[in-house]
Amino acid sequence: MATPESQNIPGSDDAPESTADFALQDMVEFADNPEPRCPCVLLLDTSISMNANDAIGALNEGIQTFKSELEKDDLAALRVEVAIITFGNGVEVAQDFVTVDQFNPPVLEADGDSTPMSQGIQAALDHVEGRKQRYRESGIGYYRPWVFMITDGEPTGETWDMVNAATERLAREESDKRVAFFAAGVEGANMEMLSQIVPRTPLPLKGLAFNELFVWLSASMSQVSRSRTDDEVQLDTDALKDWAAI
Amino acid sequence: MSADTPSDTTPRPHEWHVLSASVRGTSHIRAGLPCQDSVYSHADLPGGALIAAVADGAGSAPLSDIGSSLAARESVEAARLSMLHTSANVSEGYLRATAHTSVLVARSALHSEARRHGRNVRDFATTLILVIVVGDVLATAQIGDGAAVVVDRSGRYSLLTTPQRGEYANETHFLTSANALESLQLKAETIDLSRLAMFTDGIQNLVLDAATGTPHAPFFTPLFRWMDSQADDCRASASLEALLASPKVTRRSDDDVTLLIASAS
Repeated sequence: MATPESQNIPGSDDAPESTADFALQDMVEFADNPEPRCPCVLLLDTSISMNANDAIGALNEGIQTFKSELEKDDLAALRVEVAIITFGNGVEVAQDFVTVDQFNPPVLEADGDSTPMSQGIQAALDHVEGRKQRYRESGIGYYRPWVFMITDGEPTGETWDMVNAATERLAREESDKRVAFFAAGVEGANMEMLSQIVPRTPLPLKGLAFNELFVWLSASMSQVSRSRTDDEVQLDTDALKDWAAI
Repeated sequence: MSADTPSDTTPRPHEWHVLSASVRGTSHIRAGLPCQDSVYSHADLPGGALIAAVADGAGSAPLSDIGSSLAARESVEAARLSMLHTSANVSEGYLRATAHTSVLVARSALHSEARRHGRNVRDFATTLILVIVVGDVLATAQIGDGAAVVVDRSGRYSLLTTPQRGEYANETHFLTSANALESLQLKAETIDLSRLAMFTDGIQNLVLDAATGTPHAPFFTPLFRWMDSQADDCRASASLEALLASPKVTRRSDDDVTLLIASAS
């Protein structure tokens, strides 16, 4: 009864008077847990038409901006993971998920002879699902993944069944909150058809305002990576107007 | 103090030493938001009871600082009222019911406050963890994330409740949600309690081992040892606050951070 209980705590056998001299911050040791991750897939159209007005060049610059903007935010740099999937020359994972410090954006070429958009959508959703699986296996927390699609066209070289299957899956995964899927249309994009495929209203890009788009996307990811809510993340509509014709 | 002790088997009433600090996160400072965390406790109750609550207001809710403050205070005060006429010898069932009722009181206080302001109760969204200790019986009620850690007299750590999350790291439950009571974690147990810590989500990932879901002893052990060496509560609270505002914390969490630690003697 008379025994001070502190003697029963592991590591408490030092002389008690020595502890008061240390700053509390030097005494305690924090858990070194992995940061929760915030996956973001860029799903990009690399069909040959993206060469018009060198849209592909502006897009490549925009991706560089995305990297440098994310780097400015310490917490987002730890948490956001970027992947790039292209559709044009078939569907390709041009960049698997990496945190910003390991992200060396590939220079994309618009050399695709078709726009296999629905296969791109399926690949992006698969990729996101696979990543979640990895997080769960490693005990890493994660935020709702974002997929951001950019296109200047409409699905070509694929059947209506394929397009319908992608549309239905996307609708289902959005309503189950498994993913947040955004789409932006470069000049020439079939916005009407896009809005039938993508549950959220697709936004037309102002000219080639890719830089503004990626500044906005980076700010949005920063916000998501520190959000805690049972609601949707509120999109910054003012900054949205910097790049979207709305 | 033990004059009213009915028998030898009644546990000796505890005397509690409690320290707490609540610090505004750097993201709140940047965005001009107030600290939306709250902490409230009573440790000087007859029979050596301790009643403590921490609450974490939702960043997206405009009045969640009021929400968390009300939730913490109202739940603790409701528990305190029901303890006033209770002996030091309570049952687990009684204490669990008290914790449950106190959460309901806090919830209805938020609804009244919302009505009074003509606001939606969602604007006051907050989590809540309430712990009531009387003798060796402990009850806890929790809605949302954050957690409470206890250490028994043999030095064994355990997590009283588990942080509540959905699939995503940023999803949680709030006292104000329509289905809040479905997600209520409520339990009572008899424990040879030595120390208690309660904290909000802001520091959770720094003091629990995510892989095992257990308290990170290299954080808590020196913290409790340090606490025992502190005679001046004012200075000690300032040190605790400095710890929560230190770069070791702010580098990895820009959210509000609240920590309450209690030590029984």
